[in-house]
Amino acid sequence: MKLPASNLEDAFNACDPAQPLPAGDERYVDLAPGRGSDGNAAVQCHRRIVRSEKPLVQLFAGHRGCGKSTELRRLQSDLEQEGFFVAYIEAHKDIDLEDTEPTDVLLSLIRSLDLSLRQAGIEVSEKLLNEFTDWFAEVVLEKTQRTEIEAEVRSEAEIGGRFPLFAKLLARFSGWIKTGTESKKQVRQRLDPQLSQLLARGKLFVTEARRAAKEKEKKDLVLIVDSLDLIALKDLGDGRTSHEALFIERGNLLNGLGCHMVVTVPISLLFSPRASNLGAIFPDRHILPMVKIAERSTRVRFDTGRALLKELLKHRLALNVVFEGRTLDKLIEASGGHPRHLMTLVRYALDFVDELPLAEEAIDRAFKRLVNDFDRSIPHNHWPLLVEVHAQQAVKNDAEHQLMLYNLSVLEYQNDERWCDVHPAVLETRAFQEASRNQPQLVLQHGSTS
Amino acid sequence: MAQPLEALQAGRALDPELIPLLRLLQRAKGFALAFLKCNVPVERERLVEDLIQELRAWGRSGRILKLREPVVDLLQEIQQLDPPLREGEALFVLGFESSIPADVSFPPALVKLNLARALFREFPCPLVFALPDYALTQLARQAPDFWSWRSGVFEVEMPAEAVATVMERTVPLYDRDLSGLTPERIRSHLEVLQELLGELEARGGFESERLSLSRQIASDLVALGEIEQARSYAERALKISKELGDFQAGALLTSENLGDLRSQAVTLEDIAFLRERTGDVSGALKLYEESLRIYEQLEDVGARAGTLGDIARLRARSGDVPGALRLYEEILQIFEQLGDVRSHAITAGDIARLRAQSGDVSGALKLYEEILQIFEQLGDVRSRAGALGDIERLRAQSGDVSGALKLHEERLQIFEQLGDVRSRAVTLGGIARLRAQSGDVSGALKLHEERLQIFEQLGDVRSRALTLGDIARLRAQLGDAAEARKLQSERLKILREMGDLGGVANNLYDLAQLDLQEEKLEDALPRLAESWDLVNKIGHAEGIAFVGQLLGALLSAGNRPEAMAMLQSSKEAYLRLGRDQKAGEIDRMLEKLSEEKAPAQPTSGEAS
Repeated sequence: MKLPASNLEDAFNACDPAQPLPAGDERYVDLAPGRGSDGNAAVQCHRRIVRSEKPLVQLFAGHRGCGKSTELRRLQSDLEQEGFFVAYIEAHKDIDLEDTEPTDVLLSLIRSLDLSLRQAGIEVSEKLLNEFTDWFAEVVLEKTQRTEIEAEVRSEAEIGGRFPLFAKLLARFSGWIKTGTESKKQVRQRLDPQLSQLLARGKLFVTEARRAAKEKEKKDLVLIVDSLDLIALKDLGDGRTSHEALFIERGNLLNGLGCHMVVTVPISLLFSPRASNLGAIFPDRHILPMVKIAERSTRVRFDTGRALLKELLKHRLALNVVFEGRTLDKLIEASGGHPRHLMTLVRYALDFVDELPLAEEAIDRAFKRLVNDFDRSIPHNHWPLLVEVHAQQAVKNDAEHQLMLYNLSVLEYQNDERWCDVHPAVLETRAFQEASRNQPQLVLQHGSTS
Repeated sequence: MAQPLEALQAGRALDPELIPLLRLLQRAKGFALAFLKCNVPVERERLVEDLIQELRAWGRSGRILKLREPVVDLLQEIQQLDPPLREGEALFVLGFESSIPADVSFPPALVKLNLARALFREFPCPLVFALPDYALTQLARQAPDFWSWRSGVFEVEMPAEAVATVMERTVPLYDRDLSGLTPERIRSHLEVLQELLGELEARGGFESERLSLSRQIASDLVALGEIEQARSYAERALKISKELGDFQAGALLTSENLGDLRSQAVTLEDIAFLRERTGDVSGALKLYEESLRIYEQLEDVGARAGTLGDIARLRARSGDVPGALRLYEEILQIFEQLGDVRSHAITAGDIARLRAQSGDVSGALKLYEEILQIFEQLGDVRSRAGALGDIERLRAQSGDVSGALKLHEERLQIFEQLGDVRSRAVTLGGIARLRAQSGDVSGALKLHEERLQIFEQLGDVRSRALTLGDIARLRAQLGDAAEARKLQSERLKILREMGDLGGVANNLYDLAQLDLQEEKLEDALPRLAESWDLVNKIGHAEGIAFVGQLLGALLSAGNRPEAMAMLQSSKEAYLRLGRDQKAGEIDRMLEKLSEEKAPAQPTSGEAS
């Protein structure tokens, strides 16, 4: 595919909403100046890691599709260039996020770290590993199970396999946790009472890993844990959500390993009624805001943000071929500053044409489709609340507003302070307009950004 | 540059909403995610087939993953496709909605979909999910990260002119006997109808189609034993039929709104039937009477007579035999006036049955002879066979086994002539029971084995299960309790799979009887307890009566209050069924238990 794209097929494939950019990708545009004063969340993470004398666990929050994974990949690359050993853990692959028991999360983090170290040729003390192995085996395994796993390791070694017993055990546990029922129960039942021991040993392992990394002339060890925000936002009753259960009630697990960590969390969590508890556990938090395309209050155009989004598209599309007249501007406006929605809207618009450039009608139809998408995904009881959010440009710290941030009907922006507004596509839904008519006492400020 | 799509289309016009989807599929290199919304299952399949056909024009192939059952891990289902997906293809996923129940929050399928979304990126071609509206909404809300990767959402509405065709193709099981169909078959039919109803409700209008659908859904639910839900759909149907009537309110009775009134009457009868099934005879009677008033308004004498017949049947069931007979006489006169000889004969048969039940066997037999002649004159061989069956029962009850057997043989010949294998098998069952009654148990067993094979060939699972029960009872009679138990257990498995709650309750009762014969009270009690729960759940009056009587008697020694409550329920059920004698038996048991409760009073001669 030749970039920037100047035909329909290349234009479609250049704007993939499902693909975060790998570090160093030519399509990357630094959107920080458009995001506001906290726009460089990844850079701030980086600085803190470099400058801090003790290990930090930093939370990295942002809307779905705002570019978190892209920024974290760049963070990994920047840290590696600076000499750090970075283990990038994709939570969905390594952790059973359906069932986030403390034991599962810890075991998975330890396993992923062990795997990354071995792949990088960084060897942790065998004595420590053996002690950890013996402890695991004693606590969790039946004698026959250990014998079986040892036999596997031996036979793999004979054919050139390089997985020591520790790795094998962890792999087996992870397999059980992901798939097993009885075995999963067995692991949990035996490990749960030993959680503090597990955490202590995990910490020992991490300390040893840091030492080993430094021995290989690495500055230090950093764990980046991406996609923990994929856990569904469920109401667990008693005012608790699934996100709070993991990050607040069990936050000490993530905090207790003793190395630098950067962990993605859903932005809605930072607006939880228990956000102050979160702050007490994780004082280092960064939010990657949306790209601003309008100013707060006046809703006057914010050209810096718009220019950056235009730049984002320019790295992928031949703008003068793909767009004409006001179409590009309209598209950017329709996205609300959401990078992934920008990609989605381009694809939507391309579906309606057989030749370039994209006419206004195609943009309008694409926007209408996004409007329909929101119409579908917003719960009925949110409409009057959304009218309030649009009027006040703020959200409350409660479950309903958390959900609005979670489902992107409300986007978070930043000037010197954080503020929110309803997504432009939501403003155009019939339900929102009807709810507005029913609440005339809420004086809407200057109309939408269109 | 790709050719405009319109230029490449051949043959039938494609739904305009599909053209943008075709563009997407043509252009995507590698993974892309699209959703196709259509509320009608047969239409979804047709649309996907159309798309695959169109894709061939560009050298792209389409594959379908049709999920016939709910899945938890869709990723795995796709990964296991053989051969694996490759570039240049497009995969259409059908049936995923069954994994997204409307009333479940965060079903496992959606949780897994969301969590594993990154792994979908590894597929080399686009995926298109064809879903009904409610499932798409669930997915958008409960797998938001997966949803956010969409490249297109395409919504297709069924064209109005297609509604009639789809209705014709998908709706009619209505007057069929659903009892021989497996629950899976009925349930998949039910789901199709419910989706279709949802589509029509979303669009508005289509009242008579919605009425028809609601009634058919109620019928399917009855077949699945879900009586309460069936009732709710029947009530919906009634509401629609009344709305249709109200819509015409104030207008003169025209042929259009006459039809609406008629459908109201029919729907009232549907609900009445459901009430009857749950033992609510008085509730059923009320509705039949309402239906009667409508037929009188419509001046439909024939339909009125039919409803009078339902009322007469219920009166008889409630024990009002004289009242029932009076109604039947009225019905006979109506059919005579109408010259409807056949219906006249059938009503005469109802009267004959009542007379026999009241003890007037000779009066009943006389009527049956008249009826037989009528059916012969009409050449209605099948109805004649039915009447022969009624006479056979009377003869058997009065001890004339050889006379009864002769009649069965005659019926057997009729069904063989008609080529009605099923009715023949049913008749063999009647002969088998008579043989067993006469002591020829092995002869009876042979016949039951023959029946079993017939029902297996017909795929009539339910009748096969019933026959297993007959064989099991005979084996028990021969002293082979182990074989009897084995057969009953096999029968139980079938009935559980069929979701036949009434059958399961009955079978558990039979098994409990076997346990009691072997003095295994500890095995019998849990079976009876489960049976009791089931008969109460489905409101099966006969089951409540029998099971309640037995279980109540067994519990009376150890748990008197519970036993008395059960016996009370059993008595009420017997009364509803018009079995006063049995109700009297229970009364006596209850009295005895109450006397045993009260402590003995000291007499004057005893120390105080």
